Amino acid sequence: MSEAKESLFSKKNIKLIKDPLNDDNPVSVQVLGICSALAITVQLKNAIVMSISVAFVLILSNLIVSLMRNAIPDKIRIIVQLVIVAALVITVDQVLKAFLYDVSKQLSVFVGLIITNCIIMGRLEAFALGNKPGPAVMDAVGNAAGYGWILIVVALVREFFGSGKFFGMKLIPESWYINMSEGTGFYADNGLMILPPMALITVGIIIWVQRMKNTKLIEEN
Amino acid sequence: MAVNKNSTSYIYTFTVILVGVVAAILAGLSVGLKDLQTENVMDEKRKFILKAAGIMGRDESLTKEEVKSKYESAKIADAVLSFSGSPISEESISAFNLDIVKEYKSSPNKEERKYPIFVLKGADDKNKFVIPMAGKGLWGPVWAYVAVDSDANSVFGAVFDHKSETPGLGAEIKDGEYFWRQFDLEKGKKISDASGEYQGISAIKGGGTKDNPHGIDGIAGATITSVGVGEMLKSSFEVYLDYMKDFKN
Repeated sequence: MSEAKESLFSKKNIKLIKDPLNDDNPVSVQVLGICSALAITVQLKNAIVMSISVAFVLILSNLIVSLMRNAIPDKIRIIVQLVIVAALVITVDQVLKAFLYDVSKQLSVFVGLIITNCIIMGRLEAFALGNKPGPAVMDAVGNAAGYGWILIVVALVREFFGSGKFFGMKLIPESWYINMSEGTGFYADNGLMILPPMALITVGIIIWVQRMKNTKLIEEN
Repeated sequence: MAVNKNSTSYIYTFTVILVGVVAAILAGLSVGLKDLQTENVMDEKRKFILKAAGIMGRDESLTKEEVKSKYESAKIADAVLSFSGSPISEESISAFNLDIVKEYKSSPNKEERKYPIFVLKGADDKNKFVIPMAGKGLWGPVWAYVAVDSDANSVFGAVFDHKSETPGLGAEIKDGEYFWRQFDLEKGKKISDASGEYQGISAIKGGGTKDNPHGIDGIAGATITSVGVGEMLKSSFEVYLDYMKDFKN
């Protein structure tokens, strides 16, 4: 059993973590999980808590499905995955409500929406069902990180240009802002930045930059 | 032992076991965390009332025990009114335990809802009122606790909250300081005009100017939330008017 001896941090397994960060990023290459990337990237704080929640659900569901992979009947595998993901999401929601009430209120809608995040079902279907728990966890960590960093970058850009803030702290001095009654200032926040279309454009720019640097991603024709 | 994973009996057994296990875990979780969760909800309600009335600072962070002792030392009295404005004196109904959002949703008919109010002594030893209210936002309910001064007319503070408005847009009713600052005492918002006629407060374009005591500015980009909040503020004080005017010290 040479396979069983394979180290958790072998080259192949490290690749599972590294690939989703760049070459096989769930958001910018596979274009999954876009709806949550649009909805919650107005503020950095929400993006980070969302990334952590998705990571928690993704890692645990990948682990559980991978452990159960030999017992799950093929015919009902999607519904089984759904039950597991839904149970985990409710657990996150309940625990947040009991211990981090303020955070749970901020994320109320979005935590529920983790169930429908295509990345989670995608990883369960494509990876966890056919692999051992170790690699499945690595794959989940990689994909959660790949999803998280895009979210955080988009939120950083949108929060700064949309409301002049970083993590809720005002970065642009109040005196820069245009004040009609006193006739001072030269700056105004870009209101478009807080609307969903700009998230899409920001993601688009990330994809553009990524493809410029990583030419293997460019299709032949 | 080879098991046919695709046989009907296997699928049924698997499903029943899986659902049973998941249900047991979730039920256990729900029961186990319930007390903590209700305590959180009550703590939040106390904070809303204290913050609206200016007893607790907006950014002040206190532990649940501190909030509770502050709330108790404020000697807050409460009442539940019917639509006609007369107090309902039933043992089972308490203003504090009444969920204003549930009450709002309970009936499309204003006459059938119950209206809680909280009364507390201000620094000037006069009675101040805190009025909870609820309305419709874009994605879900919005609600507020608005503090009215002893003249039963001047607004001197408000705390807003919402279930699921968009951060940066509709959620600004809670997070945007510029929004709830419009209800500070020095902004001079009033619920009745000089002749005593009820006006409420409307969210209208240009309403935030000083010379309009019955208007506030809505939030740019969050039209539907603003309209919902405006409707709530416009209509929610009227029921309490006589009760506040007649309140004896």
